[in-house]
Amino acid sequence: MAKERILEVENLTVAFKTYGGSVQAVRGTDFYLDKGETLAIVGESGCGKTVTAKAIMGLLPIDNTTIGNENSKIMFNGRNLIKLTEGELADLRGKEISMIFQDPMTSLNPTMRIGEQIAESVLIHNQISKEKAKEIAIKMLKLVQIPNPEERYKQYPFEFSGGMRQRVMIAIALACDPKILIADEPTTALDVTIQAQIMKLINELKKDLDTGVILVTHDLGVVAGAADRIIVMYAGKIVESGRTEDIFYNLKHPYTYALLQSVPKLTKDTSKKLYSLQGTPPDLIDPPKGCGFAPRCDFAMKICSIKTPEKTTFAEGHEAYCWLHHEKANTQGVPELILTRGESSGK
Amino acid sequence: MGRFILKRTAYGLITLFLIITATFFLISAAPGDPIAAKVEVMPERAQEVIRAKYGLDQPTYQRYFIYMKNLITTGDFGESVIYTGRSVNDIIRDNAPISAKIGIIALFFQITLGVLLGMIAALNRDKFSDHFIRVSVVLAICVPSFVFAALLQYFIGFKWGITPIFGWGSFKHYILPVAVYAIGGIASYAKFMRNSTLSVMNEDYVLTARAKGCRRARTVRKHIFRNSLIPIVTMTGPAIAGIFAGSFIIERLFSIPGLGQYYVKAVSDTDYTMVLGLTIFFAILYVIALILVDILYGVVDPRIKIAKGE
Repeated sequence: MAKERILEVENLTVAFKTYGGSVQAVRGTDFYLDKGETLAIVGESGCGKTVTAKAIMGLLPIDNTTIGNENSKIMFNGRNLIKLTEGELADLRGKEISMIFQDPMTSLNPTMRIGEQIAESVLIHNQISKEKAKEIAIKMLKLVQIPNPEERYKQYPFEFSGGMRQRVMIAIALACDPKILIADEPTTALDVTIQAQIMKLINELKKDLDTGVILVTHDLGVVAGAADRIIVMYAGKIVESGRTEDIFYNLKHPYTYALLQSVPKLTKDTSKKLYSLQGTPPDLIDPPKGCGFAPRCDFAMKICSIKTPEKTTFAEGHEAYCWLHHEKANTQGVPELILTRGESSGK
Repeated sequence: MGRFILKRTAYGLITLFLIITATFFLISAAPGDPIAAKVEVMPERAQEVIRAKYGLDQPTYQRYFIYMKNLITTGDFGESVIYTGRSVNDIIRDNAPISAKIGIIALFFQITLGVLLGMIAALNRDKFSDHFIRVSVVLAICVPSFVFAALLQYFIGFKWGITPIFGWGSFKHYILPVAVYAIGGIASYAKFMRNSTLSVMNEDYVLTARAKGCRRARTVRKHIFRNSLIPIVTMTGPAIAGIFAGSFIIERLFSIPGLGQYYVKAVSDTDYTMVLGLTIFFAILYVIALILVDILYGVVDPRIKIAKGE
């Protein structure tokens, strides 16, 4: 099936100026998004997931941030978003590319009616009357399954629960029928039972509206059911990317392995302690020369902290950056799963 | 709403009762004597007559009951000990409006200019306009008002002759005292507004507004402005009450017959009835102002629900 590519990111870099030096938050990432597809970006805190998402939206603080270099591209609709002015970006935001955030409790304006916050997005991007915008807002409230939308339109955020507010955020994001929805940890701040509802809603709406979704999360449980493809990020770089089943059942990078090991499973022997990855991600003011994960990696070799690993391709679209796949690698004690070549067997 | 006002009025009355009682006994216990203050040498006999006239020959608790009875039944604050023949009510009626006129005009400029300057500083953080406003704010807060008064009187009043140097009567007499009165307030409001705007600008909902495509002007107007006003409302309560009290310093420097002068003088004269009467008057204004502020809160911030009497 031929898919329409709607977003293409090439060699994206983001650096923040701080008093301590320049923080290299994102250090050259390449990825793409197809129409109607869900792409998950996973990794632990501080590895550059959210910064990548905000860079696409142009929502990073302008003053002390450097986005991209001469080779960097964020291609959308034939335009390089890095080169656009703030005004041009504002026209895209909310209309073509929308974003929802981690904490629905603080993401809505407390002194503005819910309905007006949805209608505002419609009014900014379309030449329509206030009445028509209100109609669309009520329709959106209905779409995100909020009961009594006419009543709820007039209420304020404090009258909504966390899950309800995240639904409103989704309604705001989808009000103009965007091509891309970026969901930055959309369920992290919610109860587990609500998490499932919100993810289900995002999935359903994505199918109905044929929107491409970039799902930023550290929760692999959320990813498993929702994503078509996964990107694993560490220390500002992509370490592995591939189809969801490849990442879960045929993973090729020790970091991905460690992430999956630390997810609790119902079927597992409960007498054993849950695996926990030791240490913290490296300081990105002075990024490591080699593989960022080397200091925490159980299978690290000499080369790992000296030279950045090359890309190894395993199957179509399944790639990993790890020295273990080099022919001279010392693979003693490395789990068989990481080393085997070929297509995913889990499919 | 009605229930809320009723409830707050009841609390206000209790507060007033406590203030009156405390003030009454404190001033009675204070050393000094209004009669002695008025005239240094006076025959014993004459003093006794005057004491009897004001009831000062009676024990304190009895005076308290008499005072309270008069106050509640007639609303009479009594006659001034110093300004013979004038009741405290007369003095308030004649002089409070003068203080209030200056105060209201000054407060208007304080809030509008202060909020405006604070917003400008916050939106241009670390740029020239921000630094300029911040330095001016520190200066305006630190330099006492009598210095400004003297400067303005010298240059605008004396050297350039644009306004009268002091006095009371015409429209021109307002300009200098209002300017001096407003300057400190403008600075305080600007400072608070700047801080409050900066913290609102970092809120998640401002990011949401940008994410849905609001341009800067719209983000400021629709999402930042109203939310940054909330702390400012808190500041206006005492300020509203303060405008009737006037400023002793400003009224003194510009020779304005406002209430502030009377209040300070009454304390140094141990003018029992004046101190009590004016204290009660200001306390009533404070209580009303605070109720007003709570109502205003509900207007600015929908989370505060007055309608349900909470």
